[in-house]
Amino acid sequence: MNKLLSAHFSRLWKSKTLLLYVAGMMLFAGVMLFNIYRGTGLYETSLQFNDLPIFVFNIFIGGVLAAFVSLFLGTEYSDGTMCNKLIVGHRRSDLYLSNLFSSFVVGLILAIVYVVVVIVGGIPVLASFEADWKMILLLLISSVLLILVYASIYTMVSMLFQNKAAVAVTTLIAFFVLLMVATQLQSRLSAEEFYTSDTLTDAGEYVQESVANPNYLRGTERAVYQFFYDFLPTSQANQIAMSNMANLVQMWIYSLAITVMTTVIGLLGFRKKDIK
Amino acid sequence: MDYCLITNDLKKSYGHFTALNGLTMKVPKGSIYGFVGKNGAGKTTLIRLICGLQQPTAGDYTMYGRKHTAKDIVKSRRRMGAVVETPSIYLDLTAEENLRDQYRVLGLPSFDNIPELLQFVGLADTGKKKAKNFSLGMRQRLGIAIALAGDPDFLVLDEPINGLDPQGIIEMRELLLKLNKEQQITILISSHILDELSRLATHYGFVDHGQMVKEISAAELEAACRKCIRLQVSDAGALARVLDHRGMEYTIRSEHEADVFGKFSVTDLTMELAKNNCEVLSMSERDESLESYFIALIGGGQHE
Repeated sequence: MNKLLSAHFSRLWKSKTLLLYVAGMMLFAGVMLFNIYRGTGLYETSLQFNDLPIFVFNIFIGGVLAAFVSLFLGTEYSDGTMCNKLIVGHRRSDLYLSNLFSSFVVGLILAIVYVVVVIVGGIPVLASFEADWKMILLLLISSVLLILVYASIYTMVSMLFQNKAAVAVTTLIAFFVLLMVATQLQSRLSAEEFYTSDTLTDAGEYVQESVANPNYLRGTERAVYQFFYDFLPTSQANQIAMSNMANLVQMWIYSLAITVMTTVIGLLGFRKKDIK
Repeated sequence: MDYCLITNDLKKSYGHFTALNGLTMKVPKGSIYGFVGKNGAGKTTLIRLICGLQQPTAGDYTMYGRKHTAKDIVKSRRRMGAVVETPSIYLDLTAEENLRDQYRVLGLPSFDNIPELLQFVGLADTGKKKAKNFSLGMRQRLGIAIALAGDPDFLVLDEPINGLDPQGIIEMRELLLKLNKEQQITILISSHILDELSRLATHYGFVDHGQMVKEISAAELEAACRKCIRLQVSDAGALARVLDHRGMEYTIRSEHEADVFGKFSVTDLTMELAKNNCEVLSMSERDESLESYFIALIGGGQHE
């Protein structure tokens, strides 16, 4: 597998597409910094380290990886170069796992680029470097696991379906749909249980009273919503970006479960796949 | 005879469609094996199977003594190179970069002989030109260079001269002959262009409807296609006696028909046959080409 990884990474380093994606992540980090500067004034050192938008990239990394992985791995099919690797005796499992690893590394590179730009660019507005390092470590681990989840899902789809364009479009659409689902889940779960309502009494006075919110999720329904909110990669991304992870351990377990599941399905499917 | 590839009753189905229906073939070591068949006969399917891109539905094949199901079949695969349908190359890389990539895939320690390989396939002066800007012939040559990167003993080429111009076809032919003669590489080549194939192949396999119709060496085919006079006579026995007496080579095809080889005086033969009460009913010159042999074989309906 080392030979395959060597070939993959050599191609990656030379890839103008990767450079373009890196530039895109830097630009995205720049936009986030610009918002910070605008909110604080450039020389007003009022922010703590934890206030920097270090983990906001998690929200979009899924979309970025969807496009990159489907095109990068899809080229192996469209240019037929995957055949060269199989013909000379590389095992399909090695080919699959090397592709998964390459996709994961690309995700890490893009994330690191974003994080470094945000941290370096954020220094001017930092009051101090004091931070909740334990929290940051947990967020880092969660981010790495999330990138692994995305890489394994997109590798599976890209390796099982040969049409590069179709895979790119499908994974991107799926990502944005899941992003909307995540927003919806968050909105429903964060709804208040009660809200205050002004009622006009017979005496002609307004009285405030607490009213049960009919949209508030209860019982099994809430548990189901919470499960999907912790399970879906896009809603995990929201939680990491907001540094608000209620069920951290469950999220990690779900991430690992998705990674293992998609990789096993992908490996089994790719092993039997007729390559044209 | 040693064989680098033996397929045994190989079958491959896609849903209800059967692409290979019990194909058995033997590719001798050191040969240029011409794999001939109509569109959809199963040529590319067989090549995909032996390249490990697809798995057979039934049957098996042995490559360099290892069955395809053997765990160490990868050792045999490392001895082969192939170009299946279109050349497998990264279009956004140059010829040299493509070769470097394949060298890495193969784990070769040095790129030193890449210029030599490019020279060998006639792509030495392509410089920084990307493969997407190559002509079809150049892409084919680059595909072959990639297939040769691992110094294979067995080269599999699927329709390598399709779409090439006349000059490209000549260059491809010379390249393949050079590989076979100078480096003793066994070549399995599928092609529709029978005239071109007949200039290369040392062995042929004729395939139709996913089955091997006939395997024949070029020498046997030449003998079968040799110029002859086909005679229809009233008594083939009498003809045989006369021809034996004259020391001529012939093949009796039926009670009334025979092929006679070599030059002879038609008048003398006819007169001598007349003395033996044998009437000559018709006489025609036959000069069978690979093409007509193929048509007769595949279109003939009755296969051996």
